[in-house]
Amino acid sequence: MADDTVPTPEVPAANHIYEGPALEPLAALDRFLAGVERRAFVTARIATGNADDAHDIVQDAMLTLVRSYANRGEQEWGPLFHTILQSRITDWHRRNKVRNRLRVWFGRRDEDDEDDPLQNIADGRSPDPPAQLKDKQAMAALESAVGRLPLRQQQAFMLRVWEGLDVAQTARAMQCSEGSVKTHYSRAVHALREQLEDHL
Amino acid sequence: MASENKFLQDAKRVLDAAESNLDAGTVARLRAARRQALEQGRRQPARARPGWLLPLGGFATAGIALAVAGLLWFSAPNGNFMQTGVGDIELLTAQENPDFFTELEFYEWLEGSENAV
Repeated sequence: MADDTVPTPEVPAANHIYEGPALEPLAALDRFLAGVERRAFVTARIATGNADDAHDIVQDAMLTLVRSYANRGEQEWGPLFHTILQSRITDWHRRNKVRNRLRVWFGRRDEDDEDDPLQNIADGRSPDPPAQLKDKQAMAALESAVGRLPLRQQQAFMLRVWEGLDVAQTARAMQCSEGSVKTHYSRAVHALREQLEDHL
Repeated sequence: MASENKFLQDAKRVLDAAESNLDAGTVARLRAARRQALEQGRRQPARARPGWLLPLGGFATAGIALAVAGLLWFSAPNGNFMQTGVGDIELLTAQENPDFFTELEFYEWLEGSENAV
């Protein structure tokens, strides 16, 4: 992971008025983001069902963290990043709802919605095809089932189960009460167990 | 409870596998996005809004509302408005053909000349 990080930017010339975050946190921020970006992407992909939108959401969340919170303490970055990411996902759902309504009103269907036959061709380069196929099937089933949950249940499940946040941390990330988190989480687990017991 | 814990562990394992099995293209794209975010953040940090902007915005809105209310309150009522309005209502609700009103002066002249005869 260390060689994956971005080199620390050069120190600006003495006569240049530098207004950005202190350079020292940038290296730490780079390490932090390198550690969370993949999880963030998977979370966003499950929430949106679309890799391109997931990339946009993750990039936006990273930029917001760097621009607005680089000077905060490192221990604050994790909770802040979760909050920003979940907020961006919620925004995406709101925009998507409006877009879908407009599509219904105008009776249009995007060409992107058409099935791409290339996506159905199996990838033959896997080193252990049976194991990876099993993982892929389980992942596809889980992604699909989590993606069908209402957004708040989805967020509570991912933050509690995958990110390992406790109820209070999850409530802060979702910007709701702890009681709501408990309700959403409980409903999510119940629904997913019913659908996935045979797949996992 | 034991089966629920097992289910949750399995779900976490599948999600971990999804994270580690991301394809090279996705990983490269994420790395590029991170570099871009760090570079942009370094060049254009978010500027904090001065605290006095919020009350200033409130005062400006209240001022505009007061000005509009004052204009409405102190502007002189137009007496012709009601008269014109009542005249228009008479025209609109009348049973006669609209052509009758366009030639009203002619009928008035005709009535006057018949009386004279």
